[in-house]
Amino acid sequence: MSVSAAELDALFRSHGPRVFRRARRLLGRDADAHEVVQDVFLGLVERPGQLELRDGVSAWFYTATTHACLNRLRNMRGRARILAARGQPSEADPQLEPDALVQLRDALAQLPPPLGEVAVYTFVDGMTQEEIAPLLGCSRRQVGVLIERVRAWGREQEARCSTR
Amino acid sequence: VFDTLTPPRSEGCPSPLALGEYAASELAHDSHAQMAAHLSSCPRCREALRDLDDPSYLGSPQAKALRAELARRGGARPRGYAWLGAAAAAAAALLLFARSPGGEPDGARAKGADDSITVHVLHAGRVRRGGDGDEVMPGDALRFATTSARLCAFALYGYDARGRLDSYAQIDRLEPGREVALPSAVRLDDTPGEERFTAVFCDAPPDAHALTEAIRAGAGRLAGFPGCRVRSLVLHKAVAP
Repeated sequence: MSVSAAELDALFRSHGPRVFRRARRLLGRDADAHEVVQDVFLGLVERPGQLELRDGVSAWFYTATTHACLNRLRNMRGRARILAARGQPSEADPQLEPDALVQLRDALAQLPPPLGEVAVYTFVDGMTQEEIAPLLGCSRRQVGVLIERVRAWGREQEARCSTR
Repeated sequence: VFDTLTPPRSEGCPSPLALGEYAASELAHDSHAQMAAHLSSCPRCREALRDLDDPSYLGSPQAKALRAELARRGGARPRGYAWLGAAAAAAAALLLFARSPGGEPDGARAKGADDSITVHVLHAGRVRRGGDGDEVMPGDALRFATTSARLCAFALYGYDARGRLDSYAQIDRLEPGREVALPSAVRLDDTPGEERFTAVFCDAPPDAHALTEAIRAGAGRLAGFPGCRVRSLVLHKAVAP
């Protein structure tokens, strides 16, 4: 299928502002959030079937935005490493935000799927296991296991830092 | 780092996703009413809802540029029904879904003047035309298309036996004279009973809140709405075997 220009425009006007707000909250910078909106909507043009068979259009945009933000965080972390190796300052500006958020984004950038998604839904959005399960397409029990893996990963990272 | 964060959500407050679904009228009737009651007493959630739908983003140069790009790219690919690809054994059924040479959809039409909606039903990997009054099953997927007689704003809503109202499409400028396949398919849940679909073809984008409240007030039936022409389609969902 394709999505017509009129349909795309309607989706953009109703969901674009929400995608932008969510991306800015997760990434902290307008410039990155604008790129995420672009990723999400152009991705929809390329693969309109993604929207299909979802319980709701909002849920699709919500998960698509989360994925796009996590991908961007992972890419940004890789880029920051390259810049640091070259002796150049990274693009992140930790002065702009509380330490906890900067640390959280760093952690999210390192978590592989679906742990990154679970961490966002749980610790950023405050969603319950019952609410997360349909977004991931798994059971509440599995979500509980994934959250425990995220916590274990966090403890492991802390232990590493404290021994350095 | 995870456990040191301030809890992002207060006890009893909805998730950001639920707020978005409320704003998009995707919640069931009961949940919608509960959310409205909560919002009336929770300034933090009202603020979050306002923040969520802040239209100022649409005025930014980046948003305008992206909107123009989407207008350029929209509909550039061949039309079809890719959602069938998600279903098993759908390849053969895809042929049944192809548009006829004349461009007319071969699904059932809910017709009045020249405004119409059509529906196709995917059941057990096979596609058939849907018709007003047809029986459908839990797990079936529906795909809608619409044609309008003249340039108009269009919206499609579904109302199920449980009282859940879903918004399936909102198009501010529906070009006349050609079929438009709506972007998302509908997977039916296991609530048996009537599924009422209401399409409105309006001279200007309707007040979405007033429109959804009118549909709710009529338990899915909408006789008319100011400035709009209304078409409806009813399917009967059987109990899962």
